[in-house]
Amino acid sequence: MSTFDKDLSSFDDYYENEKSTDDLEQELILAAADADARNHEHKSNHEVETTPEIEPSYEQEYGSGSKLKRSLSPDNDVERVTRLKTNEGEIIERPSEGYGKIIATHYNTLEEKGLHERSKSRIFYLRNFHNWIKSMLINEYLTKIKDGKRHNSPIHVLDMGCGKGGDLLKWRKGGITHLICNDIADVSLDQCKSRYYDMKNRNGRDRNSSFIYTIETIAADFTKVRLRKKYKDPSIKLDLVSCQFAFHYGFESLTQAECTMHNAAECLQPGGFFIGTILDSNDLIARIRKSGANIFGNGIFKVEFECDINKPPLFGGKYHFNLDGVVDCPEFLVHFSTLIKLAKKYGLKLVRTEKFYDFYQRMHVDGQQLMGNMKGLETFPPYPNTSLVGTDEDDYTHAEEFLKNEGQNRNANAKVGTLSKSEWEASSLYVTFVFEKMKNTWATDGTPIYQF
Amino acid sequence: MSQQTLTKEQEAFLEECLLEFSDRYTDADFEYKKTYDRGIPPPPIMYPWYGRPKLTAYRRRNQGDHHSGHRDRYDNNYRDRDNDRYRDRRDHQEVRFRPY
Repeated sequence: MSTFDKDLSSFDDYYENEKSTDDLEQELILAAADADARNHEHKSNHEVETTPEIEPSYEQEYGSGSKLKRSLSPDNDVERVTRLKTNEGEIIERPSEGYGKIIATHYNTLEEKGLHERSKSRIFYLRNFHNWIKSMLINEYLTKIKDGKRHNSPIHVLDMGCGKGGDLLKWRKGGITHLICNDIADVSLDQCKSRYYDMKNRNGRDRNSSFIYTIETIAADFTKVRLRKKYKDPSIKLDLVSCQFAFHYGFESLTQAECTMHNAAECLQPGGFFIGTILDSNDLIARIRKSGANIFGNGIFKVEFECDINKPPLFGGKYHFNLDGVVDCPEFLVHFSTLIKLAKKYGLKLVRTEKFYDFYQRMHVDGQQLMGNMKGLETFPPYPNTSLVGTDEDDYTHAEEFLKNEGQNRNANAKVGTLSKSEWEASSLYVTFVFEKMKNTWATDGTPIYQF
Repeated sequence: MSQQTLTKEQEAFLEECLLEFSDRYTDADFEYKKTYDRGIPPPPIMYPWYGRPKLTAYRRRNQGDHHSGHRDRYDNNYRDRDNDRYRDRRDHQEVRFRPY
């Protein structure tokens, strides 16, 4: 029985069914939970037939300036990254070629940590919660795409900024046909590939093996390089483009933002979706102003601004986002109205944008079982012999109050799933967005005219 | 902050945006004001909640192992019967709702 034969509308059943069949699968779910951060798997020496060479120099099709040379000695880059990190408060000169290289180096030099190590992390549930959000978002729009197609039609997806392949399992559950993985950091992509082959090999050994999509990988900066030129089949028609927790890198400059949108929209079919998650710039600015300094955060995350917070620029509004030591490289404010206006130029119409809280409110009933399986929320009060990840005094006061108010209706052992306040302060900064590609006609000069 | 030289078209677009969004991140900016006033909503609470405790190294090793040893006949029989039932239902459905 192939994946296609099953009713794909519910992820929950999948996780539930597979959970008991294979404990390795369980680990894979947890490994997928490691989306953007660390990878516990050792690099294996799989032979990969399609490894687009990392070009020694990036083409700069968008914008002028000198060609970007990729440094051959990583030491220099590491030095630069640490310098950026330690140079607190000082204004650091923007490298002439932009931050792409620093971002790439940051991800290339990320430490590998074990699964056990990670489960002790203070942001264990936060990461799982974000994975739940991604799963639900991907599922929602893949379902829409499938509803509009013939049964078993191929589904092509582009994952911009896929990192170490945290979403590989989600694409498998979604039953897609082909995935283009793109990331700026080639080390991450290598791990993504080995994760993919692990998943594929494991599937081959499994009695319930199902069809697994094919992949191709592209190591390139999506804010500067036209990805279409690197596709194996440049005439491919994509059904879904996903950019999770990475889109903000594109708002360094207008030129880069245009390139990012162009990459997202170029091969997308009319009716296809561009989905993603970013930090909400309104919330960032609101919180920094409330804090009265140029830095805010708590024990697990820290946001430090390096631009004028009274009148932030539309592009290049730079800040550093440090989440439990995981991500600490320059990011840029995405002014949402500008994004909508820019998207229009590329035939993308905003379908929906939601803060994570609102998304959770809309989805929590449908996603309840998946949330449990993915450990997207922490159990409160904790089970015997387990401890809570939150260490601040009022991290769980909201849950205590809730249980108190529930009062007599519950039995004495009732438990709730929640996030610690510290984790939630970080998580509540994020928004999801969904754009839809519009149909178009052609002007006499060959430019598309979109029908909004 | 755009150090790269912009084309005329880009400059025009930027001008337009700067004009259109000149009151960004101020009280006159509806979306910003809404976010500012709302503050941080309470953390999500799922109830009822059937979460399981975090996997310990011991449980992870032993999960799914309770079948090993005599997994063959019993399991297969069960699976086949299940599949048959499923197939019957599906065949029936296909006759009724052939999508294309």
